[in-house]
Amino acid sequence: MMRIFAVILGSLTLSACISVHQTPLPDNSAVAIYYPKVASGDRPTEMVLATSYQRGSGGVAANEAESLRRWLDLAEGGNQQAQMILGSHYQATDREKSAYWYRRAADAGNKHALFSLTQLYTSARNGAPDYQTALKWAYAADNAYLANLYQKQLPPEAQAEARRQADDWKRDHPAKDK
Amino acid sequence: MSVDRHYPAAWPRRLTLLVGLASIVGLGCMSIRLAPPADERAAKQFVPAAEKGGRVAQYQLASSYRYGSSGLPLDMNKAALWMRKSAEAGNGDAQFALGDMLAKGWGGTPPAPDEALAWFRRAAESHLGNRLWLAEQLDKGGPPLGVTDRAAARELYLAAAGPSRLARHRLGQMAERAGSMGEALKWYVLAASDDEVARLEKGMKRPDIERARQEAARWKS
Repeated sequence: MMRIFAVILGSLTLSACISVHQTPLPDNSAVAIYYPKVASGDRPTEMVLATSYQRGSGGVAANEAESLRRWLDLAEGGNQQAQMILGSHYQATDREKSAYWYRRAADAGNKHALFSLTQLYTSARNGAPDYQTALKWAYAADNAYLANLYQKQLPPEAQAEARRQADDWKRDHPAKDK
Repeated sequence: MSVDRHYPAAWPRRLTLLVGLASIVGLGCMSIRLAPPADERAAKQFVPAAEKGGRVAQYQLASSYRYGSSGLPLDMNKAALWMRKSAEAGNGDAQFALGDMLAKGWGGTPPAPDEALAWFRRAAESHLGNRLWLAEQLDKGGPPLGVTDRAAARELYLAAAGPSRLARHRLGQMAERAGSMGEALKWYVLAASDDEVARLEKGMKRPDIERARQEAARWKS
């Protein structure tokens, strides 16, 4: 009786602890799964495919042109996520293009885009910091901390101008509940 | 005497203890990793359909050769061969990818910017993103194309102006750069670029503004 019990117990512990893994095949989802979906007109999957080309995952190498053309298409179609990605894509190299896409996302009601705009205009990576425009977007975002920070850099008349522009923008783009 | 009687009964208990301990301490954490099976995904999924002339499968096969995935070796010549088949069958993605490959060139094959540009242009006809991308490349120059052609960029933006707010904005910028403020204002109004409209209207005369806005309204209808 004891012997049977021992054998059962032993084999149970052994079988529970020994694991056999099969090494999986390399990922080819971008080519095998996402591409046919995108080719038949699946827009949300196009976002995934663009990200694969950005990161070089899913069986493709990183390719800026391939991801950029898809983001441009999605962003023009009103995809806010694609607009934000384009904003950050140009952020370090081209302030004007980056601002354009953050602006598009902000106009469509994206709150993160307002914050990104303040960061874009105060960064020294792509031109001199522009505190007046940054202050405008800080007011538009109702971000008191950043507004206070930028006010210290500006004379009162520049602050008033930023306030006026922010109020104009808010009037034209009333906040959406979200 | 008493030891003899207990001797046989003690063995199973010790065996249990031994096996249990061994499995927890040593054997217990044994994991066996098997080699991956033969990768036949491209051969099974893409090749039959590609040989039948499916342009999506041809693109998939070409991409597998291009990046060395799905069980195929990296082979740019075969990639270009299949990509061309798919592109000639009218696959816009293949036209773009072929243009990209030709613009960069690969081992032994030098870049062919003229042929690449021709393929990018064909790809632009079917896809708004391709058109905006190509216009941006031609406007700013630089890799992968290495060509600056502002007039061609303007043509592309004009062709995309209907569905694309970005194209209208860029047309406004181009007109502003060229110094024709009325034209620039018209495009900015159409692109709903409020900041630019306000900036231009500050420096323009009343009748010029009126005329630009009328032209914008006419373009819309």
